[in-house]
Order: sequence, then structure tokens, then C-alpha cells
Amino acid sequence: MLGGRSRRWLPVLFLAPGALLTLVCVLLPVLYAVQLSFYRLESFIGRPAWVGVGNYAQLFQEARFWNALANGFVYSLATIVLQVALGIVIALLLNEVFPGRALLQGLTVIPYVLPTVVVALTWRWLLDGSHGLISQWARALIGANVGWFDSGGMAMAVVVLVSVWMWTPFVSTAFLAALKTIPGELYEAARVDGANAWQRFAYVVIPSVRPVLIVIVLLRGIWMFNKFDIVWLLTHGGPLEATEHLPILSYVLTFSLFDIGGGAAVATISFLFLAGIVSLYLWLFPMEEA
Amino acid sequence: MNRRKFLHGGAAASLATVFIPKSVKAQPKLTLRMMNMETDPNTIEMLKKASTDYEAKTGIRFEIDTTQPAGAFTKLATSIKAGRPYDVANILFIGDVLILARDGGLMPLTPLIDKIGRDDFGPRILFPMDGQIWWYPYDYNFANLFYRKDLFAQQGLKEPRSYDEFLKATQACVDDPKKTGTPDRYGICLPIGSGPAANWLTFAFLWADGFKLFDDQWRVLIDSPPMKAKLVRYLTFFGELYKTMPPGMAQIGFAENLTLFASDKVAMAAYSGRMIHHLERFAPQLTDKFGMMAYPSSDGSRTGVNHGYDGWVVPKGPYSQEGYKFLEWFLTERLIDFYETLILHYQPTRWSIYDNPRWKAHPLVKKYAWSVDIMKGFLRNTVIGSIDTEGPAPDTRPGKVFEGFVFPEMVQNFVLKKLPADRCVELAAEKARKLTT
Repeated sequence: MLGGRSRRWLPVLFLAPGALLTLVCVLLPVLYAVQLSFYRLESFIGRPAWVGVGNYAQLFQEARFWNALANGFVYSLATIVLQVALGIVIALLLNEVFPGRALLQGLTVIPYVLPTVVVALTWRWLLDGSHGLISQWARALIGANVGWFDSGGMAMAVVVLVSVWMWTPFVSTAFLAALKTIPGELYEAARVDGANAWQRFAYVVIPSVRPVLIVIVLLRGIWMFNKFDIVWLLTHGGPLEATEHLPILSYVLTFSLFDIGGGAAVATISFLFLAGIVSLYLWLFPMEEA
Repeated sequence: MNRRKFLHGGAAASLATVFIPKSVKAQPKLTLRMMNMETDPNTIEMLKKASTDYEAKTGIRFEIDTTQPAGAFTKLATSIKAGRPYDVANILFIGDVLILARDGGLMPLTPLIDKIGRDDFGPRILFPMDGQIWWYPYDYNFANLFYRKDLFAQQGLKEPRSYDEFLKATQACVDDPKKTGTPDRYGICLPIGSGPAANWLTFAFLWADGFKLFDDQWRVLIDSPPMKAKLVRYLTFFGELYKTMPPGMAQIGFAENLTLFASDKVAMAAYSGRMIHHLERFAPQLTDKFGMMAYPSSDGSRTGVNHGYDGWVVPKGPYSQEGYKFLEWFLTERLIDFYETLILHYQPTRWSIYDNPRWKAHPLVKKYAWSVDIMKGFLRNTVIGSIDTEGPAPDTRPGKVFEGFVFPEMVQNFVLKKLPADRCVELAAEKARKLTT
């Protein structure tokens, strides 16, 4: 049997490895990145020169930075709205009873479990200008080539749609799980009161799953704002920086243009910006209330 | 498997370990690391074999860590920063090599190069900085043009020598029998996306045309009257050429470029000798139907090719001397084996290699002797250039223009955004200045 003092220390003991790991693997690199953002540094092995907030001042004057911020907004907002809307519709359909439902539930999760690199390469092949299947269908349909990545708007649309295709299953799965927790009596009572399908959705489903919905939007928001891999693999931020958002700008500055301080400054701003948005979101939709 | 079987298996494995002969269990006296960014399977196998042979000879094992070329610099720099660098590495971008050298991350290889003899190396390949040579370049990796000789013959075309002739040739090769606007075969493919493929394959016309990126004081020349005229001429020419290209040029990379030529989708494409290996493997019906040429200048007076070079470096660290010794051994004993793994792609940087009996005896070198002559000819009578080696001396500044994709964006502004040519040039100049000052 443990004594009172030992019992008090037990949680600390259990938490210590995780806390240490977080400190070493998360906190220290973050602090190091923040520190780097105050230096001018052209390679990881060079001697850094202190520039204070110079990198930040420089960034705020750059049209490229504001363009990346705007692109990040467009990308994350569009993907979140579409993912949540489609995810809810899919979840509602999968919540109905029909033959083959279990199979369909399994199939809808496939895009989410595929590695991002596989998804990106597959879509690149499908949209390849000469040999891509979708490009050939489009050519047969409209009699002209479609430049999927030739204009900024089109490239952004492709990136958004591929992202939605890939991550909507997360929303539908989480939402479906939440739907399963709604007692059948609630639907029954609403039906007896004469509520139609839309009213049942608006006044029974949404209030019941609100906490889950808030968490889904929060998580998707954080993930999509920081999403690097799919955008990079599909467009590298192009054409002409039309799909370049803050994570890509940070990467390009750091690893392509040898401006490590600038890249770290972008990452720091991105982090602070996201922290601000998340705080605002949680203030507007408090978890306790949810 | 039940618990008893599991325990029996474990005991048997332990006993086997105890009784394994000593020779099998022998450990190298030192294990070092090589970073390799040549991803061809034959090359990787060859490097492993070389490592095994070196271990048998010296007791020092080199573990091969193969990485994608695009991530090589970051990986190497990170290993140096972490205090335990790779002991020998190959890398593809001279700007990266010079950055590592400038920051004290590399051993100078000057004694090694001097022992071989600088005269043995071809032009524009050693890139000395601060009086030292920092790499052993093993591959020129020139980007040149491939064209379909059979189609040229059908159209009565000769090898084009100027922008005008080149444009006429590509236009003549477009095969659109039903006049649908979506041809069965296009004229040429040249990547224009912001990536290494465009930087490597699309701008050698400019070197042929005498374009200079910087003056002697490292001032950006892009919008100076003579260079601006060259660029406007190039963009106008490229705009017409673009009409003969298949869709998706903003997106294609190295692999798609090879595929488009091998699949008969285009009559012309740019690449290094790897194209021949690709045709041998995937389109043998085209191996006797292609020709090779350098990029023409606007007036037909000169030709140019684009650098793609690769080289070995020895990072500075506790085992630099061992890395250096290994590299010396490798270059003396195994260099031809290395070349043989992709013999027409790795274009030798030393004159003596072209005369090496083993190298010359390789079946592909014999079969494509005419193309080897053309590739070797690039060293004597062709302007060799690349964005990242522009300027009065080897330096990191052109590397920023290269990595900032200033030139691909100039072309994108012209063909995708339809901005006027002179405005595209001004934007390119603006960006180049911002990146280099």
C-alpha cells in the first residue's frame, strides 16, 4: 500500500515522461524556432546575426506574406466549410438503415486512411494534362484541354477539392458517432409534435451534437490552416504563388531561399495567428457551454 | 504460436547466436555514413558493393543513406548542425556546396583534384571559391534537346539553328489530323512550373543567346537594355512555342518530361542522357529514331546547354579524414563501376574518362557512340550555363535566383497570366534584386 505522500507524487510520476517528451520534442524546437526568427541566418550551420524584429518588419512589408495569409484563409475556410457540410450529409445518410450500409461506411473512410503522398500522386496522375484520366474525360466532354494548374483560381480549386475528398471522412465518421448517441425518443417526440425532416435536423440533431461539431470545426480549422503536405505535393504553392499559404512560405524561405530567420518568423506569426483564432473561436463557442 | 513454442524458438535463436562462427559476427572497426542522392537502383547497389569491398580492405564500413535529391542539402546541413555529419556525400547543387563551404561545413578537396590534375576536368565544373575546390564533380548532367529524326525527315526539316527555325520545326511536328485543337502529337514539351525541372530544362536558349544575369559587381542585369531585349525576344519565341506544347506544362516534372517523349506525345523534349536509358527501357521502338542537339540561339550563331552537375563532398567532422580517404579510393578504384550503372546519364567531367577502355567498351556507349560524341562536343563548342552558376564568380547569389524560381515565374507571367513581355522581365528583375541584395 502506498502512503499518503507517495500517493500524492504518483500522478506526477506518471505524467513526468510525457511532460519530458513534450518539453524535448515540442516545446524546445518551438522555442528554438522563435529564437531563430530574431536572427539573420543563411544556413543551419552559419553564424546567426541578431536582427531583433527585423525579419517581422520585413515580412509585414512583403506582398508575398499577405498573399500567403490570404491564401491560407481561402484554403482553410473553403476546405472546412465543404468538409463539414459534406461530412454532415454523408453522416446523416449513413445513419439511415439500408442494405450495404456497413460496406459503405467502410468505403467512405478509405480516402482518410490513404497516405497523403499516395493521394497527391494519384490526383496528379488523374489530372495530368496529357495522360490523366480526368483530363481525358474533360477533353471528351468539352472538346478542349483543361489547364487544371494553369490559373491560380483553378489550382486553388483543385487543392481544395482534393483536400475535401481526403479529409471529409474524418468529419462524417466523427459526426456519425455523435448521431448514434442521440436517443431515438427525441426523434420520436419531434415527429409526434409534427416536426419535418429539416426541423428534426435543426432542433434535435444539431443541438444534440453541438459539442462534437465544435470540436470537429476546431480540429479541422487547426489542421487545415497548418496543412502543408497536400498543397506542396500538388502545386508547390504555384502557379505564381496562387496556392502558397503560410506553411509553404515558411518552408520556401527556410529551405529554398536560405532565409532561415524569415522562415522562422513566418512560422511564429502563423502560430500566434492560429492561437488567436482558436482563442476567439473558443470564446465564441465555449466548450463548457457546449 | 503458443507460449511454449515461443519460448523454445527464443532459446533456439539464442543458442544459434552463441554458435555463429566468429567471421560471421565480425564487426567493422568503424562504421561511417555516406549520404547518397543518386536514386537509381543499380547505382545504390553499386555503392553498397563498394562499401562492402572497402570494409574488407580497411575494416571501415560506410552505411549508405539514400535520399531524394531535393532533400539532400537539408539533410546534409542538419547532420552537420547536429554535430555528427555524414562522412561523405553526393549533392547536386553547386549553390548548396558553396553555402556549406562558406560556413565551414566542408573539407576542401583541392589536393584530391590537383592530384588528378585540373586540366583533366572539362570547362565550368570545378567552381573554386576562396582558392579552394570544395567538391569532386562527377556528372555534367547537361540538359540538351531530343528530337524525332524520323518526323523531321517526313517534314523535310533539318536540325534547327535559330529561334525561327526551331519554332517552324516544332509547329510542323504537331499532328492534329482531325483539326480538333487537341493534337495526337504535340511539338515540344518544356516545363514552366516553379520547380527544378523548369530551371534545368527551359532556359538554355538564353545561354546560347549570350544572356548574363549579373555584371562584374553582382548588379542584376535582367532589365538592362541589352538583356531585356534578349529576354523579350525569348519570351515572344517561347509564347509561340507554348502553343505547340501539350497541356499541363506548369505541372510537369522530370518524369513526365521523359514520358511525354517516350510515349510519342511530343516530337521534341529536353533532358540529359537519362532519356536514352528511358527509351531503351520503355520505348525501344524509338531508340533509332531520335536525334540530339543543343539549344539554338535566336540568330543561329551559337548553341547552349544547361548545367545539371552532381558532385561528391566531404563534410567536416570527426571522421573527415576517413571520408576523404574513402572518396580517394572510390574515385581511383570504383569510378567506372559507378558510371556503368547509368552510363549515358552520368556525363563524365574528366576528359580521361572518355578515353577509358572500360568506359568506352560499355555496350550502350558503343551503341550510342554518335550521341556520346554530341555530348562530348558540348564541352568544346557549346555555351554551358545555368541560372545558379551565373555571375562573375562562384557565389550563393545566383542560387537564390534559381531557388526563387525567378525565370520560371517570368515565363508563367507571360504564358499563363498573359502579361506583356517587358512587364514580365521587369517583374523578374525586381524579384532577382530582392533576393540577391
